[in-house]
Amino acid sequence: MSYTKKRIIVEKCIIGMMAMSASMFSIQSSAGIDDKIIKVLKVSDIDLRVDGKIDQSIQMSWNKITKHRHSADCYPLGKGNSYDDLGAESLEHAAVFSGVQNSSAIDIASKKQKLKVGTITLNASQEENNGTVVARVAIVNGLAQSSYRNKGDSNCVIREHHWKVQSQKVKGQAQVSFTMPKDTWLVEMSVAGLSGHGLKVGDVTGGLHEKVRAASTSQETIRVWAKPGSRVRLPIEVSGDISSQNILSLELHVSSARHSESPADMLEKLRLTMSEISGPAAYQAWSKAFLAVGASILFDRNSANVVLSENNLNDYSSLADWLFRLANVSDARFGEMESHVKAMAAVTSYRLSLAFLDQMQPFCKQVEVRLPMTGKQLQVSGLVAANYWLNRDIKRIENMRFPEIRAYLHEYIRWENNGLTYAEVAANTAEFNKIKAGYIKIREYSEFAFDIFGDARLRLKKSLQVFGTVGTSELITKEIEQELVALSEFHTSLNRDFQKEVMGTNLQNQSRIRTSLLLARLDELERRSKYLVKKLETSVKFVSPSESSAVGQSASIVGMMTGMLSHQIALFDEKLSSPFAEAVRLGFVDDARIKEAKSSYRNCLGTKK
Amino acid sequence: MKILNVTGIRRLLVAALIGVMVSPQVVLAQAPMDVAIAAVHASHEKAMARALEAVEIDFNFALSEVMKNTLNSASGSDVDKARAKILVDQKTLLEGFSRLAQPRDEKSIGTDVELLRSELERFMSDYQSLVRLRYSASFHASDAREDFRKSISIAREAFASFERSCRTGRGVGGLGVKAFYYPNLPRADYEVNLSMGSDGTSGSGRYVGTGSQAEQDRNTVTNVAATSAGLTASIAVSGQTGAVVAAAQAAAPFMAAGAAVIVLTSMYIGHQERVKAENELVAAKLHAFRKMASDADAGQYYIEQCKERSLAVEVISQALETALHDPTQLRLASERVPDIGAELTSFKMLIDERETAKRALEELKGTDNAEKIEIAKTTLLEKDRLIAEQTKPERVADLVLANLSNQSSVLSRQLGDLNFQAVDMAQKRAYSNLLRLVDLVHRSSFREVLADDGAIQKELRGINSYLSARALFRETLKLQIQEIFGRVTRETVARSEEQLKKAARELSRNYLHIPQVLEFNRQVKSLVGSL
Repeated sequence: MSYTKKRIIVEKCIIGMMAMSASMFSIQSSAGIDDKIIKVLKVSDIDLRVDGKIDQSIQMSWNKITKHRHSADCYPLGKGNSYDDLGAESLEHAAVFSGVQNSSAIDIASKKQKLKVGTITLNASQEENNGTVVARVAIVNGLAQSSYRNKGDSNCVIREHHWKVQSQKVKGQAQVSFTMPKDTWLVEMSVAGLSGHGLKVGDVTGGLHEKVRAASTSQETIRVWAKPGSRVRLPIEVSGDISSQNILSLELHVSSARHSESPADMLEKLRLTMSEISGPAAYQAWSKAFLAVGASILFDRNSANVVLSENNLNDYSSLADWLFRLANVSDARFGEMESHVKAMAAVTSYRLSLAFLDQMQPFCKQVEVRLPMTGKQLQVSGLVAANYWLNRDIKRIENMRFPEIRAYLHEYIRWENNGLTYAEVAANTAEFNKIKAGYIKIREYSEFAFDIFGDARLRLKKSLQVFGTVGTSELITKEIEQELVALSEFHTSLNRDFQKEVMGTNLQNQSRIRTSLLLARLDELERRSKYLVKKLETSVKFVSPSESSAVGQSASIVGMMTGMLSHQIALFDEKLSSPFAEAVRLGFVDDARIKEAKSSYRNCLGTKK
Repeated sequence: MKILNVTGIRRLLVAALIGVMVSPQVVLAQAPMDVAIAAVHASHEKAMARALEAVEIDFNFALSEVMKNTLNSASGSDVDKARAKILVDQKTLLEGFSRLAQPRDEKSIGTDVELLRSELERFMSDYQSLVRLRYSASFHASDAREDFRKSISIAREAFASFERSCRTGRGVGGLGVKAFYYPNLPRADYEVNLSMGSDGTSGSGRYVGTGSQAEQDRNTVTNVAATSAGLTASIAVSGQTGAVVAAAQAAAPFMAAGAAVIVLTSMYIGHQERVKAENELVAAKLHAFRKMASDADAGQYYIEQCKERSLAVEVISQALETALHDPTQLRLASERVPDIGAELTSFKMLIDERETAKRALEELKGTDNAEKIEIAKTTLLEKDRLIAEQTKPERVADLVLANLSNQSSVLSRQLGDLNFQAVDMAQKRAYSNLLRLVDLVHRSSFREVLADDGAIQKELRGINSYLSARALFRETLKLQIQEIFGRVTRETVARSEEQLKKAARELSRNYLHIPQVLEFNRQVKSLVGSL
């Protein structure tokens, strides 16, 4: 990343931090209209369910009113209504529900009359809202006082049964559960609109940590670390005397990581702005943004490669050091986010390290090297091979100089300085013969006419193709290759114009000589090839052992590998005493790549013969 | 007994009968609906009182939970434990990293690759262990803070639960009656007194009929009295009705028919009155049944009572919010509580006493000792009252915040004392040593091929000679061109040509098997003549 680009990012970022609201949702919402979103959380990703059983006990009282019909047929003298107290009764019922899209109604049959006097209904719905899945769960109670009429044996009597719910108790549990989406290790949950009497939101289970305290108010967001595919559960207990229809009403928001821009840029922004922040709100906002970026690197497996390919080794080294410090230093200013930030820093650097070591693997394998000058064939480590090939190519490119062309052009410049035209030079037979003789020599012996940079590109490509074409090894070859292509084109056009210059020296060409332009281009060609050599020399340093002396600043692959393995990979290698850190570690250790990476590393550095 | 003439007797009897029988009384002191309304009103009063009591209990419970959890966290044991662990870990880390940071005794190892390899293995393993310890240890402080926060979170959950109940209301578990509580409405009784007169020579009877039984009786009397023949037969009528008829019969059998008419008339009037009264009564009872307070009403009263407490609830809620999310405010609160230790002790005592009372009540609940249960309930209520009196929400809020501030500053101070920087520096030095060791091993591995006598170096030297010869070739070409233009002398060119020839000869001696070298030699020959 160029300095200018970085500078712009820093400036944007400082402005961005000032404007950033105290939530990562601001980042998410901006992502909502961004075309770069790769994945967002969907209802189908998380398989949300509500299961439960609620025992209901209803205390109700009954009475009966008997009405006598006043008529000649029935009671000619009239007969008053009578009132009977039928006493009270307690009804027990269990409402069992399961699923998410269905609602279940329950009939309660009284001993007095077979009647439906109440229902318990579960209404659960869920929707996707800009990358957040919102689940709404309501358990309502449809009890009401009412009456029932029936005629007596004759037409003369009508009986009315009246009932009334005096009180009711509920006791039971509901469980909201969902599955951790693929490649998601951290979800954020908030419980909004929780209401109902006697509610107790239990600890969230199913994550990497045994129990996570659930949010008790809607302002609080809880963060759950869990293995992708595991089932996360939020139990809710209901118990007590209820006085309204509402037994439970719950709104659950689940959000996971999303991409809004390059994770490399976002990580860089966060690194650069960390020293700028102060105050709890800013730390909160920063932490949320950091968790989002970390989660997105875990969420999209290619992200780690993107981070690697968008940073050169020096920048990446600083990034790895920063993540290591973030993971290892206790900082109370992060408040409740501290553990999460530390764990995310460790996990992110772990993922990046694995990606780095994956990409470095070719350098640790045995590679066959053919040495044409000495006529030998060697089996050497990839590092040695890369070192040799890069050295060889440096020498070749270094050698690309054209003193003969320069000398030839100087003659033209002399005429140019005298203000001559091409025709005037051509008319001078002596000079013209010299031009001819010089040009014949150049045509016969100079390499200038060949596409020497194109050839170098092909050789370099062939040499380094063994190191793969992505990521860090690409850093070594990609820029160099691009520059070689550019140089090849530049050289070809210069060669063409050089020939035109010579051919243009004839009696018909009355233009003034302008060869100084060509010479300037030749200067540029040589300057650029010198610069390319410098780049190649830096690349050689990456694969040579001697650059590992400066602590934390090592730009060699060896130094980087040492850092990765001794810091990041070490964290997840053995049991940790901190319960929080150990739980996160356990989620990641069954990655077979740790072993592979360590083994390759030993091979590469030579601790394993 | 003085014998009266028939007319006199009849008059007297009729007067007596009219006197007593025309007063069948429907004994309703008040209108039933008024009584029912009063009863409904009373029941709502009761519901309101119970709701208030429930709000008090719930609020006190929430308050004591807040206090309990805050005080628990005040014990500082977690903080102490964390601090002790951090101290030990930091010491181990400092020692460990410092040991690894010691300059290596390079002479003892020398440059033996195998020895270097095993030393690096060991060093790396030790270094990685310390890195793990450092990472793990760095969580102790945040773990301690998290435990601490958890207490506050639990306290807040208790309070949030109360706030939720305040929004939705809650029942009180019925208003203390298993069956429906009926108002004591007046009964529609029907009473008839029969008497012979003031001298009371003949038999007398009294009848009190109630509800449907009275109606049946009256119908019987009516039916019996409807025929004169049946009158005598009515002796056979048993029970109270029999007594009525017998009384009338005994008084004056010869006047029975006339008396019966009067009786019937008065009874019909009474019947209509009674039907009306009973209907009113039924309506009043139904009204009472429907309108008397149930738990649904208690819930509403609960919500209303909660509103009265909204200020207290808000103050405590805010204190807890601050404790969780805005620790910077803690210090302000701590200034408002100068002697935090003394206040905490007195609060703790209150809370402990309440806990004891609560436990006592819970233990008694399984037994049927109503009296003891009642006493335990009263004790608990008394403790609640004391807490409510002495723990004003503002003070509780201050205390919570001050206590947290105290804890937070203790932890910060203790952690601040530790020399993290020393560990950091020691680790950097140790890492530097590790890198040096890696470098040594790496170089040793490279040496085999990259050393001066290594195959690759030889190859690179070969490439170098070839490329140098090529550079010389270009230089010579340049000079030849300059010679054409008369810029250099023949001697200069010849010197360069000789150098080129020499380089080409050298090259062909070593690398003639390379096609490029062969081709180059051909070019050189062409440029400068024979080698």
